[in-house]
Amino acid sequence: MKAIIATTVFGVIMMFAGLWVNDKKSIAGLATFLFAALLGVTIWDLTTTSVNSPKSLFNDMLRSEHYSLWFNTIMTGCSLLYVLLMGKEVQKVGKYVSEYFALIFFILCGLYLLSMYNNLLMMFIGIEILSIPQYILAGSDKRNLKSSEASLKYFLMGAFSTGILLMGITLLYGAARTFNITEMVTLMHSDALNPLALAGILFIMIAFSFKVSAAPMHMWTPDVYDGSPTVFTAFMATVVKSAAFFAFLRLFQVSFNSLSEHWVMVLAIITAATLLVGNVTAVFQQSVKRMLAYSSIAQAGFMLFAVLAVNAVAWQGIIIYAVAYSVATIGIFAVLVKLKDYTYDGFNGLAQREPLLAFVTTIFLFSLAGIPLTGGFMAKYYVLLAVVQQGQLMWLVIFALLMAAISVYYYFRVIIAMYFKAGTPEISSPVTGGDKFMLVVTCALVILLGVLPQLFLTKV
Amino acid sequence: MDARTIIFYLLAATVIGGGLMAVTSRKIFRSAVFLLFSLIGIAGFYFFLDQEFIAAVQVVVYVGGIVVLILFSIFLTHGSGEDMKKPALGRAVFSALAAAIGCVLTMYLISEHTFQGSGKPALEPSAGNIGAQMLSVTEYGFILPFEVVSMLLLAAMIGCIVIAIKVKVPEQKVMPKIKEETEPVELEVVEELKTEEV
Amino acid sequence: MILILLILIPFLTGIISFTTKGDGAKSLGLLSSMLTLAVAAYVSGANFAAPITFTKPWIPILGTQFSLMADGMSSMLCLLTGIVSLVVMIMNVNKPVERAGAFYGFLLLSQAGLMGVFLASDALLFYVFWELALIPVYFLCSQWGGEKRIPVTFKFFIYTFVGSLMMLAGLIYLSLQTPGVTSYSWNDIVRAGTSLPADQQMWLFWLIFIAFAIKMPVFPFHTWQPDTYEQSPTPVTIILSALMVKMGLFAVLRWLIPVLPAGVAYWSETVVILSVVGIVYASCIAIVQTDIKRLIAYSSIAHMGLMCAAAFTNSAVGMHGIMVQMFNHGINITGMWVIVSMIEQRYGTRDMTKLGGMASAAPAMAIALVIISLANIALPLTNGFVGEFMLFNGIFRADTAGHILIMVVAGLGIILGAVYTLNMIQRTAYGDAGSAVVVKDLSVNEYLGLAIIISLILFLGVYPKPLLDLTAGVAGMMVR
Repeated sequence: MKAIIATTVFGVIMMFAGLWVNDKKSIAGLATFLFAALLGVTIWDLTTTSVNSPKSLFNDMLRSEHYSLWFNTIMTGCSLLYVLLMGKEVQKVGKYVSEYFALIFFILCGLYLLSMYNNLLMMFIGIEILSIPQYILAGSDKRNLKSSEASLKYFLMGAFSTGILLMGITLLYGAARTFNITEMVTLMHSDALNPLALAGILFIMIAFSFKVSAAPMHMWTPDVYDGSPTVFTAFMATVVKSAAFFAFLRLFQVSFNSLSEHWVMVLAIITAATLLVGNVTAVFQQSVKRMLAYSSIAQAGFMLFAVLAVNAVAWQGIIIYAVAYSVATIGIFAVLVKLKDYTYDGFNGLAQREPLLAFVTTIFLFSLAGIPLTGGFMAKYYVLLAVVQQGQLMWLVIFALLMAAISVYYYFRVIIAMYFKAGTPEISSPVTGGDKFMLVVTCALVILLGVLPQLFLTKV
Repeated sequence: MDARTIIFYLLAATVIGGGLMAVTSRKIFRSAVFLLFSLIGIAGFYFFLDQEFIAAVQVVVYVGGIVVLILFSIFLTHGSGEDMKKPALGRAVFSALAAAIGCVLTMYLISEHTFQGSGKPALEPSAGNIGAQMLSVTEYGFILPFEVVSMLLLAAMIGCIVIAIKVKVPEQKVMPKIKEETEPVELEVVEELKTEEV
Repeated sequence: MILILLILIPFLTGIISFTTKGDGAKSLGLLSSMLTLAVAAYVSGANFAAPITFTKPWIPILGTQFSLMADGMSSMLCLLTGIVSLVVMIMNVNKPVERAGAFYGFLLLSQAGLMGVFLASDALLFYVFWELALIPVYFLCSQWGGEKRIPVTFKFFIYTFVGSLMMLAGLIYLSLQTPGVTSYSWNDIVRAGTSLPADQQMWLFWLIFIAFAIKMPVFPFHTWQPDTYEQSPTPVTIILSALMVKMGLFAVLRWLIPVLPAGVAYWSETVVILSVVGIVYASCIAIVQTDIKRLIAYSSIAHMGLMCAAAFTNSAVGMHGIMVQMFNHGINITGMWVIVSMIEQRYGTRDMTKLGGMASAAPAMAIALVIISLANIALPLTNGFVGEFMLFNGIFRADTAGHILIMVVAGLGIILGAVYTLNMIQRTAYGDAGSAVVVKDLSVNEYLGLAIIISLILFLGVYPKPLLDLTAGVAGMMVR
């Protein structure tokens, strides 16, 4: 709860900072400081809540479960990393730097609500707080028509999915007579095969699929991720997406667990489609940024595994997947913004010109591809473990592994370009010692996640 | 057939007729006006169900706020008087089909379901009560969503400002894409000047 | 404690090697591989009563430990890795390498990965090393290989990666079946696997075997191999053919046959038939090759096919034969590649039709070629004979239906092997000197490298007892 208050206050502070501080650099510095403070507050939240007894807040509107607070802390950490790596780039997007940071703080508020909600009303508000700042960030580069297009597209699709979500919530309310997701369990179980509830679950599933860009509701993703300013794409594709997944998992795990036989198959098909579309389409991309957009769809397919599994391991899976995927993707985007040319050819010969950049990118790509001893491997391992344990979906596991092999193809194309092709990549902004230091730290985090994942996990 | 039934069907006809006209009209301005009728009809339903507060909200927010905003924005864009393009037949058919399926599905679901009360004590739906509940921290109090929504609005407002403030150069924005591609350098310069002015 | 040294020495020197400039990397590599070999020799030479183990907790919540174990088979393969790496380093002393630091760094890292694979006694650790051995090789081939190296190596990588992922799924499944808490230790995996009903073992078998089959490679999964061998730089080709394919066979013996006995029993006939088809197929193709490197690549498929067939025939002597032959094949094929690279370096071509007259131009080299080739076709008094004799013996004694037929066909394949090998010797060593290039005979380091190989060939051909003793205990355990 402290974190929610803190992030709101910090957002407002950032807003006013724009009024009083004219220097972009000091604004970014202030933002970094506030993010660090926010991380401190989330840790404070975490340590002051007992592991075994979740605290119910405001008539059970929120419930501060330990794993929720853990997720908050880790995602705040990722945001801090993001700001440290890309704070400089945010300054280049446009004039309203302080507002951008304020919006990111508000997004984090949405994230906290989504990780702790215990009431569909809070879930809905959380999703909206998460989404609305994104529409604006997507369109923040107003000199670029593609950015405006991305913003508009995102907004329209987002509004559409919100409508579906509301419809689902309404139907669910009709069936369960409550918004409270834990009370819902008992009420729904009493009349298990209620068509109203099933339709509600289906609608909510579709709406969430929109938010996490699962096929066939993924159409907006490539255009939005490609059109938005690269710095904000990095944030949207990582922290925000993870938050949506956590909310997805929370609802389906807590409320619809007992009905899982009715919806698992639908979600399994969505998962398979997501993996197929994401991986196969990514192969044909020429721009690395667009490839990363499709790869984020593909990775969403893997994260859906956690939702499918409906067991305790799934919580671990989603947390470690979120952090591994976020850290590696933020890292790659931090390298990407340094380059002028976003095509594969733009990476040609990077290993000669900037060996360190090429090395860390390789590690990040290894992580995304799921090579052992990187975070991505442990992440994939956990979600696979969750589904194998569930036991019904071995075909999907094997299908997903084949798709993971395809993903190696497009991730390694970047490595091939960097190491084995000659060229002189154009660097748009100089890579300073500080950048290098942060990239090495990120890289170390990725490896630490792969070697000692237990440091990032908590009891569920 | 008593008066209640007649009123119900009248309201329903307003809602459905307004909705149909809003969708089928080829002038966007008329669509908005028909939407107004449809929304007023829904407000009528709320009155009909003795939910005065929500009916008032419906009128204030939708009729008074949103539709008026839509009308404004239609006036601000040019081409509001022209006929819109006729949609492709295939698209029209599929839209109609989708709407029909959605309608049937919802009706089926509602007719199949036997609604039960929640078992919790009913509250007199007066504005005072609703306001008190909204700000209450006791049982069934909605203070948290209420406060959080205000944050949502704050975020949206910042967004509006960030998006809107720099559109001092609408000529540039309205220009077709080709312009930007052929003279990117010049555009860049103009933009720079404009931002400095701000 | 000593086991961790086997992995740590090459790993750390590998990392250091990346930072060196110029020839520092060469001496570092040489030093490191000598040290590693010394440790490996100690591990396999000292007569330990029980297999040495090393265990440290790693990720307790996953039930995985950093646990290593060296029984006869493991220490034999570690010894092989040590010897082959040393020979590679020695042979490379007088060869210029671009960006030597990275080259030797990757070589040493792949060595560390291989050691890890052979020593791991925890399934997840095994998987990690399995992948880690692959990645340096990927970079080595893509960076220092031949003209078509990038697509070829990419194909190789994706092939093996698909296999490993399938294996991962299989291992996860097995670990969930372990009694009590999830565990990946070898004992628990074996217990879990053997207790599974037969129908589950049958599909699990393929999930796990596919990774090994691609690595070995067994017949329909071999298509990556000739291209990769051809395009790789020689040191990498040696690592690939002498050591990495042994990973596949080793894994079958350690992680498949004891774990899924019912699955193995059900599918062994299929695998044996595939292997024998592979032997004949590879031999036939080898006969028409004119590129020596491709010829040896196909001959390697044939030899691995024979070992794989024996692995699935379930007889003690056959198992013992595999152990011996794994070692011998590793030595022989290393020798072959070494010679090929020397030929290529001196004549500038690998095309047999353009070669000839080596016996008069470079007699020492020609003698080495003849000895190693004869060992490769298993002439008596060479090490190859011991291994192959035991393999055939094993297949002959197998209790499967058509074992005599299988043995005859496999034997035919090996006779074909003699045909193309002798043909190659004739074309390269004898006949007219095709080109006017003045050919230098062996240099000091080449003498040294070949001396190691040839003395091992002859010694183990005459007195194979040490090798047989080392692996005897393990072979007995493998039989169902």
